[in-house]
Amino acid sequence: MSVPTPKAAATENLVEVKNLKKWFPIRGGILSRVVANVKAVNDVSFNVRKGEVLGLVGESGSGKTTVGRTILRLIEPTDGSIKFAGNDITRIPKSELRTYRRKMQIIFQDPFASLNPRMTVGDIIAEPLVIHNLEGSAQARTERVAELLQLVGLNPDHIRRYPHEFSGGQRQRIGIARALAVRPEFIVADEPVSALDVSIQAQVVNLLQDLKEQLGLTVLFIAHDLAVVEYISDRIAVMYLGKIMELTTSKNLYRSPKHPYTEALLSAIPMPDPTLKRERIVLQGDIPSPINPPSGCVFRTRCRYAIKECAETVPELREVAPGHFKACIRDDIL
Amino acid sequence: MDDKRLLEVKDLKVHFFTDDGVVKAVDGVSFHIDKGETLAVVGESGSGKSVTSLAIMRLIPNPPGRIVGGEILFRGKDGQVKDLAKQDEASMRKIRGNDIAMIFQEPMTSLNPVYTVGDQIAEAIVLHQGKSKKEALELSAEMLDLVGIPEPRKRLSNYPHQMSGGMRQRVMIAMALSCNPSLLIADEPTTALDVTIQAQILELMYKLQEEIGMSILFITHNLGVVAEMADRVVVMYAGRAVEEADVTPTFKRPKHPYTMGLLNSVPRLDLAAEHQQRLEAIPGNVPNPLRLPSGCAFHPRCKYFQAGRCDTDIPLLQDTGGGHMVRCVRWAEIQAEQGVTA
Repeated sequence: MSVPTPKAAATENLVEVKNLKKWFPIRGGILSRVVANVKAVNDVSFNVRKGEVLGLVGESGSGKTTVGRTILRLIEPTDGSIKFAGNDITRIPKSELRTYRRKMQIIFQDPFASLNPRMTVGDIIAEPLVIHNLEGSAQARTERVAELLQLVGLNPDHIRRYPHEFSGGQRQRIGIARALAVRPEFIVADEPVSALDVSIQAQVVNLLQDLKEQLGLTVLFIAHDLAVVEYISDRIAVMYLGKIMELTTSKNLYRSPKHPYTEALLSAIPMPDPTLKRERIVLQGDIPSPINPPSGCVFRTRCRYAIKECAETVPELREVAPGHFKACIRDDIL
Repeated sequence: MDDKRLLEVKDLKVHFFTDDGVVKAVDGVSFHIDKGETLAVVGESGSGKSVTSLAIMRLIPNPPGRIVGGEILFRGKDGQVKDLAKQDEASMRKIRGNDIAMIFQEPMTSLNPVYTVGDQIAEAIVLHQGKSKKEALELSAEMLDLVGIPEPRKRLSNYPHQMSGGMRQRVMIAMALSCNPSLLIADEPTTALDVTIQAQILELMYKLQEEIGMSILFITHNLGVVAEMADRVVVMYAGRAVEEADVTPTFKRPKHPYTMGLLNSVPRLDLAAEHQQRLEAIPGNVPNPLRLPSGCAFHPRCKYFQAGRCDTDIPLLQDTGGGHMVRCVRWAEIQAEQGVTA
């Protein structure tokens, strides 16, 4: 069987994440001892290939945002390693990190909270250039900002305006321009369109796609909306309770999901077509607490295929078809 | 009012008188809901969909807001038709929660954090049905059971923070349905929930409607949810209804350029796998409600815009046949252009 491979398959990995763990300690008692850990990310490994968009989907509490922020070392990992362009950046000191920070940028979800209301758009976009000492003169920086505004589809004449003068979609464009200012190679886009209206969402998705083509960006696209992720991504990793459940190309994921969680997630999404009659798999109950996740497979408590063995061993993320990985011990289903 | 009608909104106008000027949040909206029917009102932020639902409940904050025109005819449980726009606060209080109940987007902020869920559900039952506290709590447990909360009796003494988002929305639904309302207004009830939990809540609402037979006014921006839940759809843009039709024609044969644009701009999971074509976004932004464009409010974003017509005349909502209503002066030409025969 030939598997559709992403365009960048021949090239190397830009980001390599191995056995990544992020546990947030919960302290209690008089001595503030660690009484438990929130296992937000619990042993996650994946690679982002140069030039690809890797989608990271999951529901709230799955750990997708923590993964994104840990890769950028905005949150310090508990264990595991992160390599960027072959260099291990997991433990390097902050001073050395700055070189890498220029190459890795982030776009946030909330276009209202992520822009300083007291700075002009020009200053917001120029700030990373100042921090990283790029473009030299103030004149050159202003030119670069104007160029960036144009690039994201905003009017360069608006350089002196403040964020409140822009709509949600326009603010998200400003956030994108700021991320692109330092000419990064890798972008973490953390729910970049979830706060936007439907008609505006499409504009921003199209913009991201154009920029990716134009600038040859590598993107980790984090979102809970599988339809948007599937649309923009080359490959998708599905997360649940701190672990990757399935990882494959977008097409494979939709056409032949191999993990019961992916299957349920896909069937839960309402399709904008009233004539479509589908069998809906309604998962029972809520996501268990990440403080005390179920033994073995973390999904087994809501899985309709769960058997006794599922409680015993933690399933490895293994390759079940070329380029198609799943963390499920059962091969007799799906 | 027709016998099968439960609610008829006629030319409703809700304006907000702010320091910056008058915001015509709802400006001449008409629709109806039949008994047992689900009507979805779809729109983006600022379209006036939530204000419409708040006006029906007479919950518009005054000042700055006011219902400045129109009628909201509603058939009460006693069979009498009342104009809700003209009721006083005392009679509205008898209707709210009893005849019409509402559930909101954010189940955390709409529950009182200092009362147990049992107390909160029982409150409405005591108030509207004149039952004793003990009977009301008994009924509350039955309601929790109905909405699929395990160990309902034990859960009565829980506080909202002890429950997950999905559970809290179930509690809201239990509370809303505790007095057997004939109309349930659901304002983005699943927007704050994860998709697997959303699926649970939608299934629950569907099942309860079959059992109880209430009508639902479903306010949402999610077209997938509309396709799944609605019998009929009203599409709103900038305070006006621009299209109204049964659910299938709305999705299969939309006639207003805005509805077409909305449908083209959602990524389709089922289609994306087949051909990864570009999304067709609607250009521009949702207009500022203080400075609405002249003529048709959608004209600056419309690809079928024609100068001298779309920017001068405010189009009327016309019946294009079979109850499919469209507010666009060019709808027939656009249909012809697309090669669709009416």
